[in-house]
Amino acid sequence: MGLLVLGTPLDWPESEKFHDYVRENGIKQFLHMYDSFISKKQDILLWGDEIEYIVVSMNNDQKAARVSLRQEQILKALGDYEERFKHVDFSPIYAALKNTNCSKQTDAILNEAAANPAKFVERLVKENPSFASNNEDIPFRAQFTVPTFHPEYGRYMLESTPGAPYGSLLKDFLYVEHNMLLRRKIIENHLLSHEHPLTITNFFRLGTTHFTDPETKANGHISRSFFLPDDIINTHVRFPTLTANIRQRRQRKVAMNVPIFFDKNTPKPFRDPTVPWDRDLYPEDKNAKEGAALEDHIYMDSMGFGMGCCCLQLTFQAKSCDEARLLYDQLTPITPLMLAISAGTPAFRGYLAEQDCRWNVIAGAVDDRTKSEMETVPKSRYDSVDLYISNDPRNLPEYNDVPVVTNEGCYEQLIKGGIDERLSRHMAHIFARDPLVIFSDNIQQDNSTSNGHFENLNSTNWQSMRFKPPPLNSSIGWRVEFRSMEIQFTEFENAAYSVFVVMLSRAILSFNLDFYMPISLVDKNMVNAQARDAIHRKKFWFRCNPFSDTEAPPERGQFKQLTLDQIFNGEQTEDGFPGLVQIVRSYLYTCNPDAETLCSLDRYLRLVSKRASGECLTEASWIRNFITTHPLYKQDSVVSPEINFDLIKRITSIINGESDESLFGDCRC
Amino acid sequence: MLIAALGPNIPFPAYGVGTALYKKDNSKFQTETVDSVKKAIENGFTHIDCAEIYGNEEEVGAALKDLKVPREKLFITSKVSRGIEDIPAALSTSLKKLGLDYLDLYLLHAPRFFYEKKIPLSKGWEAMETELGQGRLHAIGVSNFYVEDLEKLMETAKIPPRVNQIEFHPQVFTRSKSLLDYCRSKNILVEGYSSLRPLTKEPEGPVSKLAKSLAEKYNVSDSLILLAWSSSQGVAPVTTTSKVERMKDYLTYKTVKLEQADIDALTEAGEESSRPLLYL
Repeated sequence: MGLLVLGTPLDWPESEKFHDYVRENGIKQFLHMYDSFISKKQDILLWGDEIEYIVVSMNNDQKAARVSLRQEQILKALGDYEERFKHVDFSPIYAALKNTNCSKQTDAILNEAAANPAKFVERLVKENPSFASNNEDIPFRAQFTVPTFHPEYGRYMLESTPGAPYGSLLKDFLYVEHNMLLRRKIIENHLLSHEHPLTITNFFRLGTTHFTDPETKANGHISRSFFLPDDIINTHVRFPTLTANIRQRRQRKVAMNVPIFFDKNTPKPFRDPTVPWDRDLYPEDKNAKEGAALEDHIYMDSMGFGMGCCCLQLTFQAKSCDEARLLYDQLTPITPLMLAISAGTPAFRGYLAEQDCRWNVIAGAVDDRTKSEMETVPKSRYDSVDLYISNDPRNLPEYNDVPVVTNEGCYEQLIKGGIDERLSRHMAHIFARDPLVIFSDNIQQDNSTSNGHFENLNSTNWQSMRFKPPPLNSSIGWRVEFRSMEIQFTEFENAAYSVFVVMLSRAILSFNLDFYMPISLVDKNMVNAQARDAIHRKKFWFRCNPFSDTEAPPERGQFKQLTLDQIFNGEQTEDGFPGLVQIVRSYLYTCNPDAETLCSLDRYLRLVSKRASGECLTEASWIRNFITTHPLYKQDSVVSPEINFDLIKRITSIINGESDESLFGDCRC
Repeated sequence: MLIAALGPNIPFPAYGVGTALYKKDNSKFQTETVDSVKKAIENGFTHIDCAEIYGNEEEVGAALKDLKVPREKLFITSKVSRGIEDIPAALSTSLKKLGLDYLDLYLLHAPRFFYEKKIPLSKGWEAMETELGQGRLHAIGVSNFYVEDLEKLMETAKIPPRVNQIEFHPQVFTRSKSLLDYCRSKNILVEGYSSLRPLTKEPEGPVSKLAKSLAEKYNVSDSLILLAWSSSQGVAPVTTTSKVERMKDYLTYKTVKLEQADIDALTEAGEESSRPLLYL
């Protein structure tokens, strides 16, 4: 998450002196990157995924599931693994995986590959000379390289990425699931036997009592949270600094209030007995009783409740800056839709909520706006996109219809630097925020060789899409990041959702599709996407006709409200929208796939289709169902430690191959 | 229609170079067929549907060669029947006769060829699947398959057929309803041939009479009424004619929007004069 520079961070009052300096130099760095790379064109479309995990510690005797705080040791071990095997060509492993159909065999291969890939590859190539790749140098692609592992905000969290990007040919999509499976296997190998890496959005009892292993107390001065110990924050200095500076800038604790799910026995009104209303350790303790904690809501008061969530993120490299800007725009209306069908967060701090997603909680968790800024600055620095940025003629000015705060000085600097109006406005909006963490030894930077100041701001604006210029000293091109999806339990699902979005992005470019709609409608969709059971209960704004008529001049689009089933599976009328799944399928056919590829990728399309129609439950619905039908559930919205334990146990079994028809139908095979 | 904007869709109506233009004498090259195909394409058909068994792939090939239409603008379907024992070879033969490098769609013509030769359907389908993605065909499907045949195929199939081409018009509706439902559930597009059979074979029958009166109501030809009826059932028509006027007419079938009551009336008329399905 963001950059991990070493050094000493300035405390908030000290750092305020440098805000304009960072902004000005960040823009200079952007201008330099832009000039250097504007003509950079890539022939190859590359992409990658980021998966985050929560390491759970299980105690079968006590029937307790807790989060394990051993991130530092685990990451060190994973780092050693990466270092040890960075010269191994992993492709024979993927060749072996391709040749097997049986899950036992797949598991055996992954086990050997995770344990010692060097030895395994040697043996594989000996037994199957055709597996050897004839490359002098190892190509920089996911199927050839060792995966990489990263720290995240939570000290119980891990992140993994493929060691190099995936390509965008159909056959490249077949590596994704195996790559993800291998990553989990490697992590598992470096955990203790009672620890498991779970890809769940949040730990259901985060912030309750006895939820960490080892035991910790929620009385830390960094977050000053009632519920989250400072020990759950990654020890790298950046993270506690971020936490404290956000709290200091806004002059009160962060406050997220998620409506509680009212069940038969839930007390109404709900005044949370687990909130220590009268604690008096810190001045901010009184925030809660002074109104920060709302009645009938689940109150959360720390960055960890947001940034301690896991998600699924994709980064695409576009062919050029213009294509990156177009993709950014065209995928923006898609972000709420993918959020809705990936919903996986129905519970917070041990309570069932009246929503199914984590998005607004993270928005609140890093919201650094002061009380007065709440009136003048429309959104948190973590939230959905505010501006379309492409110069495509179909990007009509009226689509940017929400108020947007920009830094005038930065805007002028950008325009003077030769950047066009739309991109200038976008950057000036990003730079309207204050830099949250400034390292004293990193203030002086050479703007022609460093992009630290630029990254400082670009990486602490957490939007549903992120626009990323090429890094210096690399062959990487202009990129966009798709950030709204919630993480799923299994690699099958994560691969399905990832590959679906990638293929949709290719279809958008290939068929010249136009999903533009007013930002205000996209924002409405973001709200609806997070609703409990949005699949059945909500409608989403959608452009009536995304098919561009290249002969006619671009006209103001017509928009209507559709269900997710209609958006993904089509309107079932002759002139109706054929559905995103059908569009992707058409794109798939244009690539003339062979039967294996078609069969493999079709599983992914069918899963997405069934999640959108409700034939398969979203994970949020599935989790909610598990909790509410658990024999020990008291119909009071409480996720007790026993229920939590059983739920995590069941999720672990599903990850390990146990079937569940309500979740997957017949798609996972 | 919006679907038209998507990828390599299958254009309809397809122009069938089939039994109506059937070669009675296999040895003679029929220039009438060549002329018909040329006229069809010149007047707007882009999907040509032929088959090994009709024995006129060479005529189609001659028409295509003469016209010099860019290959990517056309959609050519053929079918294998007698050659099912060696599908790659049958495909080669068809491609040679048609003068093409690839087919857009290749179909197993009918299950009966498999039953006659005691070859399992799955084996034929496997051969088709192996050809997919190798460059000589872009999509694979079946024809005259009923639910039992499809189920047998799906037992071992990696992917379902893209299309199933069957006889379809109001008089066979009742017998094909479960097949239509099955195909819809598996995402198999249904193509229908003999759409106009009630008009040509039973001009005094209830379907034909109703089609003629609806033709007046909607101010279109009776053929178009039946094509529109097929379309309303989710079936894409394969048509044929040697007359240019009819060609131009059939191409407009999607513009006819029948009211639900009229659609139901045609279905009912079909049920009244119900027929068994043709087997090839």
